[in-house]
Amino acid sequence: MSAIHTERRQPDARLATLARKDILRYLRHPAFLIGAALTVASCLFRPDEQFSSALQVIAPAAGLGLFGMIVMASLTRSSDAAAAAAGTVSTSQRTRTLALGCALVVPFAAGLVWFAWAVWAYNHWPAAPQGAPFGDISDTYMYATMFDLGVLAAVGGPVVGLVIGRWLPRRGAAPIAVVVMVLVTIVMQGIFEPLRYLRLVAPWTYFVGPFGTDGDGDRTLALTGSPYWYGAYLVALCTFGVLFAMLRDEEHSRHGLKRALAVVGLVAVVFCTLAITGGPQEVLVNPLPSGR
Amino acid sequence: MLRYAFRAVPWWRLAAATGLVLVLMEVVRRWPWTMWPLQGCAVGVVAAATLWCFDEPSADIVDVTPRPLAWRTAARASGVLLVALAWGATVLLARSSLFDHASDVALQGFAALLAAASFATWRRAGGTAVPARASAALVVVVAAFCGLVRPGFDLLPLFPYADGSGNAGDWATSRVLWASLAGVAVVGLMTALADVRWWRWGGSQM
Repeated sequence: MSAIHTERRQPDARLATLARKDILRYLRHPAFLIGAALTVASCLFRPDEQFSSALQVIAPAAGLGLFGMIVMASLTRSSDAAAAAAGTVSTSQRTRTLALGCALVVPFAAGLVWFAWAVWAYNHWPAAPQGAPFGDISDTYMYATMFDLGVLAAVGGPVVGLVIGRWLPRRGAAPIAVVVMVLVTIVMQGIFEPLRYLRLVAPWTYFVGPFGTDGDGDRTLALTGSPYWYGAYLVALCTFGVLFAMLRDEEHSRHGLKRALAVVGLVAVVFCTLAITGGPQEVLVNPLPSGR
Repeated sequence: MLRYAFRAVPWWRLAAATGLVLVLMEVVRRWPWTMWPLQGCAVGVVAAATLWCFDEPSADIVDVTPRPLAWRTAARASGVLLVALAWGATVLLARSSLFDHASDVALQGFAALLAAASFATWRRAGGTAVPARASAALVVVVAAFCGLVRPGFDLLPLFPYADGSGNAGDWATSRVLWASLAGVAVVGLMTALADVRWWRWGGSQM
């Protein structure tokens, strides 16, 4: 009875031990430390006058998210290298992937610290009336965008790194993925009018900003879509990413995982549709000219 | 030397990186006002591609062969030449969209290339087999961060744009920064290569 109990507990204990080690490895990784330092440095300057800290979401998204892609791809590679060097290991690749997934708590916590600063800065240096929020755009809406584009981006980047580490374990794959991610993000951030409505399928996009109108190139606009549903969509995407990374393990049955992936994928599609069709369905224009 | 370069340089990775630089700068050429952060990313990719040229996965074997590091560095520089040519060509093609600062943009890429070559050679001289393993990804993501977030752009205008007024960064300061980096990199490169020769001579005299 006791032996059975111990055997049943062993995988959990192994996962907990590995997770603790991976959390520490993430915390000590130079790329995380540099990214976190750059994010902190960006908080030392007074935020934009028209949008306050709401326009500073790019700092944690790049400093924790993009750097996180590199960190997680590197941790995954080194985890595999350690397993290969050890020969036959009792810990499966799936358990190691799950342990790496647990390390996501580090960028999430760092993102939350940034979010706390952003909320404080938003109230300490309120945005000018020419900026956002304005009209029907509430403070809660602004907080939701900050959470989505700051905290969830800080987690989303490392999830992409985990997927790359598992499915494309080639040198150069992670930095090239970083550049591709930047390219996709800029294209889908709402600058290009034909893409504005469907931009929410992308993992990072603006909701408010100085997108401009005819005659006032910096006029503040609030684009279509719901930041609340968009947040749910991003959480579903992150879950999908972790499950997809776990799917790489060919030694265990993948039926359950495939079923879970299908369900999470379907949920993500539903949330994405709700994000696109929810919230304001017309671009809102700040009645005040930008003055720039 | 050519045969060594053919086998030692990761040409496929270099081809992917130079292709990416071409794509990034072409996008910047088409939409300079909106896609300018990609110019910083392109500089980062140039530096990373240069770093990859100097990786020596078989250092344990190669480092004890009669060929000195200076010879191997010269052979591997053929890969760097490809990157430099690609960068020069893309800047030339995109010059009409670079806000009359094509020479400054070119300088950024060449300075990054020199700095990366200097760093990699210095690390190789110090015994590190694959200097790009830890640094190539980091340099790309740092360049992407600086291009996107532009932290402290008034003090450290790494990637200015437009006419450099307001919050666009100052081209003159940027020029000084990149030229200084290039100068330091050249000195570093010479020192690293010279170091190895002294070490070799010391070794042969023993």
